[in-house]
Amino acid sequence: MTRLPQPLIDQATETVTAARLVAGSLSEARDHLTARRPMTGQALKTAGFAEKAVIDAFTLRFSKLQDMVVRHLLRLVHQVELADPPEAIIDLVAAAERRHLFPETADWMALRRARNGLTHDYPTDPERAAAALEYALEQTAVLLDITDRLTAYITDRITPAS
Amino acid sequence: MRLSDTEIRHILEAAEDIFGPEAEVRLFGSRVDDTKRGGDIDLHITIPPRPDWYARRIDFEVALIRRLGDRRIDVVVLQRGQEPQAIDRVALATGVSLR
Repeated sequence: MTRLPQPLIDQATETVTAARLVAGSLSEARDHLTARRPMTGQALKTAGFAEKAVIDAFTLRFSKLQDMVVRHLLRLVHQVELADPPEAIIDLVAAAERRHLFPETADWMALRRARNGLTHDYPTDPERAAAALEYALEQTAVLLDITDRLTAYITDRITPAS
Repeated sequence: MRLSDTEIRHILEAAEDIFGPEAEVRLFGSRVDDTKRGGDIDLHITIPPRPDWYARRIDFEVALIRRLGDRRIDVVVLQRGQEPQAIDRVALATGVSLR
């Protein structure tokens, strides 16, 4: 087995650690909000500072983890195989799907849409914002599972066989 | 309106599959204007109230991307009886029914 270059191992280790930290924080924010489900427009309208901070933290981490998956983890899957990652995101997703690291492409598309809904769609409409938040809370398990699978795959390939 | 007959058929079929036959589908935004080029596909869907409307909306968007390709598609769903917001009022006033 070809030994991976140390800078690549260091980069992969750092990226995996960062992704797991964000995943942990996302899980924590999701669990805080789960206690208040189902989310309603009225609940969002009357949310105090602390609740809004948790919702903001959840939204930020849900987005950030998706960015880390796309920008770093999907590419690292190829780099730790000493191959050049494809340029297009759709090709990166398909390659991860073939390795059983990803659910169906449609599930990933739904996650991306959930993120857009959470961050852009309804700043002045609490009823719809609540529905977008509920949906994102449901989808969080899928995102965490993807992160687990990708980080485990990368870790496995950068860890020397004993 | 700047949508092909095939695009309209795909949109209506997906809407009926996902929201049911009572869904009313309107195109609004720049695609209604024949003098413009390109632009997002902005769709406004009016449906009977249903608790899973948001998940259905996402399913609808994903279905359209699969049928029409990876395009900029924005969907607004209004449940009957829900108070229309500014975006709904614009879509209802300026949009074109696809049926």
